[in-house]
Amino acid sequence: MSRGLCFDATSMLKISHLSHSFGAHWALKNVSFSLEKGEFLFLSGPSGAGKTTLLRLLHGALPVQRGAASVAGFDLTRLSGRTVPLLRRQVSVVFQDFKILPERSVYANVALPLEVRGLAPQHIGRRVRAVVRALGLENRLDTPGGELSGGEQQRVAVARSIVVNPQVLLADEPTGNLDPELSLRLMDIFMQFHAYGTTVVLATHSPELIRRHPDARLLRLEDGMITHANWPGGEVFRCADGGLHLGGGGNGPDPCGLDAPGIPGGSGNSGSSGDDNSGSGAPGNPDGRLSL
Amino acid sequence: MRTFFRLLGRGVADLFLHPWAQLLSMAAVTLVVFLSGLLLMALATVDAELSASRGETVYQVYWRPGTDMAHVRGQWEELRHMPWLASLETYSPDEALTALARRMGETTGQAAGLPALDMGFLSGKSPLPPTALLTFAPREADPEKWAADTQTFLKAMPGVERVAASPLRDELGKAWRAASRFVIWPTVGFLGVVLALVVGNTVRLTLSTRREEIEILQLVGARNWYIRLPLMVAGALQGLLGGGLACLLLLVVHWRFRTALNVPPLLLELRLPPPEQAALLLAVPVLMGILGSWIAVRSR
Ligand SMILES: Nc1ncnc2c1ncn2[C@@H]1O[C@H](COP(=O)(O)OP(=O)(O)OP(=O)(O)O)[C@@H](O)[C@H]1O
Ligand SMILES: [Mg+2]
Repeated sequence: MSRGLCFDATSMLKISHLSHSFGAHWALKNVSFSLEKGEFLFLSGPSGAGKTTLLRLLHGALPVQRGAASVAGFDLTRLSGRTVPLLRRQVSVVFQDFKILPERSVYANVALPLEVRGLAPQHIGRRVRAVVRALGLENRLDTPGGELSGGEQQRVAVARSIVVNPQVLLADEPTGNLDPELSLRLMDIFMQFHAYGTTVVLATHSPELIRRHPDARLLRLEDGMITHANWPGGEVFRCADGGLHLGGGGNGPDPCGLDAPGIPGGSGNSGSSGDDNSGSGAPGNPDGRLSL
Repeated sequence: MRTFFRLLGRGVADLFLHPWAQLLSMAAVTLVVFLSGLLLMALATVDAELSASRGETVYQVYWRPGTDMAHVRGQWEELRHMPWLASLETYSPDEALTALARRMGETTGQAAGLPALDMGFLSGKSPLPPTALLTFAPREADPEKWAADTQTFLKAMPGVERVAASPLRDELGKAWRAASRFVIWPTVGFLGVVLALVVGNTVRLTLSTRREEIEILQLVGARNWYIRLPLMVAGALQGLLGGGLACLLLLVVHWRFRTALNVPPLLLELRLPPPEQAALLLAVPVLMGILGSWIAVRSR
C-alpha cells in the first residue's frame, strides 16, 4: 500500500500510526497494531483513554486524520459515502450507549441490520429469534426498546450486532450494565463467535473479564497511547517489505518508514510490554510509540 | 423491488411514529400554503377587476331596416361565441320600439303627468332597425389592433349597415394591463420562494425527531437511499396533505366569501387563482417536502 504502510493480506484489522484529535486535544496518539482473522482483543484503559475513539475510527464513524487503517479489506483512509455502508456490513458494533430505537420493538431493533441488507422476512425471523433466545430476551420480543432496562437494552444492542455474523465485532463496554452472571453468558457468546472466526475487539473496564481470558490479546490505552500490551503468540506487526518484526527492540529506525509528524505528547511515555509476550514493543522507543 | 415497496410503505407508516410532530409541521405547511393562496387569490381578484371589468369596449351594431329577422337571429347566435364577449343585448325592431317607448315615457311622460306612450299601433311595422349591443372585456396584448379587427369583422357581416364603437377603457385598466406582467409572476415567484423555504425547513426540522433513527440506520450499514426513501415519501405526503388541506380551505373561503365584497362601492368578486398558480400551491410543498427530507440525511 501507499505511504510505506505494511499491511499483509491476512490481517482482518490493521492500524498504523493512527492519531486522532478533537480540536487541540489528541484523543489517540500514534497507535499501531494488527489482528488476524478470528483473534480476540481486549481494549482496556481508564475513562477518557480513547477506547471509544479508536472503535469509532474502525467502523468509519470518524474519518482517519493521521496514519492508516484497514478493516475487513477496507482502506479506512479512502472511505466514501458509498463504501461506508459496505464496511459496516462487515463490521458490527455494540455501542457504549446502545443506540437502540426506543419506539421500535426488540424484534424490529434486532432485525434492523438484516432488513438493511434486504434479506427475506422468513430468514430474518429465524435468525432474530435464535439470537434473541441466546441472549435471554425471547419473552421481550414485542417490547419497545424504550421500555427495557439498561441491561436488557445492552443485550438488544449485542443481539443486533451478532445477528449478521460479522467478520469483525467491535464491542464498547458490552457488559457495563449487566450482572456478573449475564456478563459471563455474554462473554461466552462473544467467545463462540471468536471461535467461529469473527475478529473481536472488546473495550472494557473490567479487570475481572480480562483475567478470565488470559489467552486473549490485550492493549491498555492511557491518554490516547498504548501503555501496556499482552500479545501472546508473538509476531505482531509485519511489513510488506520483508516480514519485519517490530517487537524486538526500540532503538532502530521505524522499519516501516513512516513516522507521523506533529503528534504531541508522545515523548517520554513509553510502553511496557506484557510479561509473556515475545513481540511487543519495549521501553525506550524514541517517540514513545509501542509498535505492535 | 420488494424492498422498494416496503420502504414506501414504511414511509407512510412512520408518519404515525411521531404523530404530534408530524401534525404540527403539517399545520405549519397548511398555514403557509393557505396564506400564500390567499395572496394569490387577492392578486387574481385585483387582476380580474382591473383588466376585465374596467377595460370594456362596447359596439352597437345596426342592421338595415327590413332585414330578415330569422337571418339576423342566426347572426346573433354566432356573435355569442365571440372571444372576450362580456355581454350581448339584442333588439328586434319591435323590442327596440318598446324600449324606445319606455324610455320616452320615463323621461317625458312622467314629468308631464301624461300616460305612458302607446306605440302598439306600430307593432309589426316598426321602422327601427334590428340592433345588438356587444360589450367586450378584451385582454389582448394589443388592444388597439383587436378593436380595429373586431370592428371590421362586425361591419363585414351580411345585412349590417353601421357599427358604432365606444371604447370605455379607462387609464387605470390600461396601465394595469401593461404592468401586470411585471407584477404578477414576480409576486408569484416570491411567494413560491417563501413557501419553499418555510416548507422545506419545516420538514427538515421535523426530521430532527428522527435524527437518532437515521444515525442508527447508518451505523448498521444502510445505504443512503434506503434511509432517504421512506423519509422522502413521508415528506412528500406531508407536503401533499398540507397543501391539499390549504387548497380545500381556500375553496371554502372562496365559496363562502365570493360575493361578500360585492357591495358598493367595492363591487369585488373574489377570484380563485388561475390553475397554473394553484398547481404551484401543491407542487411546491410536495417538492420541498421531498427536498427537505433529502437534505436532512447527510451522508456520514
Ligand atoms: N466528539 C468529541 N469531541 C470532543 N472530544 C471528544 C469527543 N469524543 C471524545 N472526546 C475526547 O477524547 C478523549 C477520549 O474519549 P473516548 O470516548 O475515546 O474515551 P474512552 O476511553 O472511551 O472513555 P470511557 O471509558 O469513559 O468510555 C476524551 O478526552 C474525550 O473527552
Ligand atoms: Mg468509551
